[in-house]
Amino acid sequence: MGLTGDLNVALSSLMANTQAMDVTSTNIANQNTPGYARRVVVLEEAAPSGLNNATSGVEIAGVQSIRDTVVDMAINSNTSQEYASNTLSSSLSAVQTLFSDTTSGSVASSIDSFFSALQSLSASPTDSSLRTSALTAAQNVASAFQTTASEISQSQTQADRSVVQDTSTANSLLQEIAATNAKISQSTAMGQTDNADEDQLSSMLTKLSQVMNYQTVNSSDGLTLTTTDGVPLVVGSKAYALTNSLNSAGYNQVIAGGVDITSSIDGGSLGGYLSARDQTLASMASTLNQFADQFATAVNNVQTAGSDVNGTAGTNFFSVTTTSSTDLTGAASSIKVALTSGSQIAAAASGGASGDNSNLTNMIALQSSNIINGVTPDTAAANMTFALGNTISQANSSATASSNIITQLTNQQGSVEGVSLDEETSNLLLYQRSYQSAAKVISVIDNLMTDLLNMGATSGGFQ
Amino acid sequence: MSSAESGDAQVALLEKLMASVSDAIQAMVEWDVEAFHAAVARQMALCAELNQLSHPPSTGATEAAHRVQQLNRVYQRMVTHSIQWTRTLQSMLPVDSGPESGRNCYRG
Repeated sequence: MGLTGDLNVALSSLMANTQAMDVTSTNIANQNTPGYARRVVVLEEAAPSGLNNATSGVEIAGVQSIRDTVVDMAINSNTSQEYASNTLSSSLSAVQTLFSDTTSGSVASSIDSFFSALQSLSASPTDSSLRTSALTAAQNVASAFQTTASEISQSQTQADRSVVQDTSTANSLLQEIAATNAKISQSTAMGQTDNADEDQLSSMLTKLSQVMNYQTVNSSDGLTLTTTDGVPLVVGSKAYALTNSLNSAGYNQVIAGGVDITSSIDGGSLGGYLSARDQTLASMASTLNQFADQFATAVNNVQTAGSDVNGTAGTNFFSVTTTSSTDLTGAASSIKVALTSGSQIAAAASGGASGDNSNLTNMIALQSSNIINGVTPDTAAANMTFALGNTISQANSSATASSNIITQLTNQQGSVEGVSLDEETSNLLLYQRSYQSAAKVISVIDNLMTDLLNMGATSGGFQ
Repeated sequence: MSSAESGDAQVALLEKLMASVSDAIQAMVEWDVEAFHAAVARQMALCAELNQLSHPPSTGATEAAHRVQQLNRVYQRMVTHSIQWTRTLQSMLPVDSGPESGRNCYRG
């Protein structure tokens, strides 16, 4: 190789060396930047140049981000699970105390108090103060059902508001992802690697997984995001705007490009809110309505079979308003004590004397009768408490499991994509020492060549 | 050794020196520290040999010396630049060598 060739190699190498140093600098500077993946220089042999096609050294073919897309996707998937579970748990915790057996004012404790009041009245059926106490206890039962129904409804409304808020957050992220996708596609079309936008895209996908679950497919247009049912969310540079639409229950559904995707969202905080609103809380509301309706019906059936303190035929103890005889919606929130006076409690059997307590005994027996979906009222209340506690417990366990998996995956991701400071430090020290020794030799060569050339000039000619 | 032989020897040494400078440049780009070390060691040995040839250079040796000189200046600039860079990068590294947090930073 001639001098020109050598100089060309040296100059192109100088540029390559600078870029390689830049990459190390970028790695170190971004060691804690979310979404940043370690970069490496991809070297390739430069095209031969010069008359004799001599080798031209190496050139930088590109700078590549080191990513493990499988691990990235697994982390995002588990992030969705973790956020969904945590959101579900926190959404349900607000109503959990209402279902505790020991909480004053809970359905379970108020029903116990009601039967206790009836028990006291049974010993002295004509005692007006005991009748008033029993009536008050019944009002407390109605109040407990109403309060619990109201709390469940409020929790559902709160979850519904959060659904709207999360839909908006997801929308913004989908639009940003589509815009970044477009930039990456443009760079790819020009044969470039857009590492900065790739990092940004990775970071945004993680943020999106905190809000909702999705699946990704790489296509010629870039990254395509869909729901688990395949409904498109982002295709290339186009984001399908998410909107909300009210369902028959008055809650917001999530719509993507005209398609209702609510049922396919079970991850991220959005999935957690939807699960709380449409599944756990909806199921609790339904169970509570059945409980209220069946309890009122059972007590009313006994009450109407007896006579009050005046010998009048008993009338309904409780009134319940439902949507229909089969749709019990509204039962718990509407339950009221229909009696206006303690004297109306039908303690006596039909036509019995005022001191008779036989009908009251039948009413007290309801406490140990399987009147609520085949179980006693106490068991029914305990079942609701258990079901809610179990759902919260499962959500917490799921969140913990997801969190542990994320920790492991993040370590794995770090070893592949992360910046190793030890490695970078070690490299730098080696380079520093090498360069310093080279600098001394360069000086020697320079002096030597100067002396050599001076020697030729002062000798009066070359030999 | 005759002048002609001595001149040939100078040219051969200078060509070797030039090749070893090229090797060093290539090794720097490839971040191959061992190859770089080896090239620098060869340069030192060749300089020692050249020092022992005390007679004036031949025409061929003068041309070769010019080429080495020019390539050496590019090489010098590259090394100087690299030294500055490594110092800059060194200053960016955390002084405390305690464990870092975050997925993008790990030790080992």
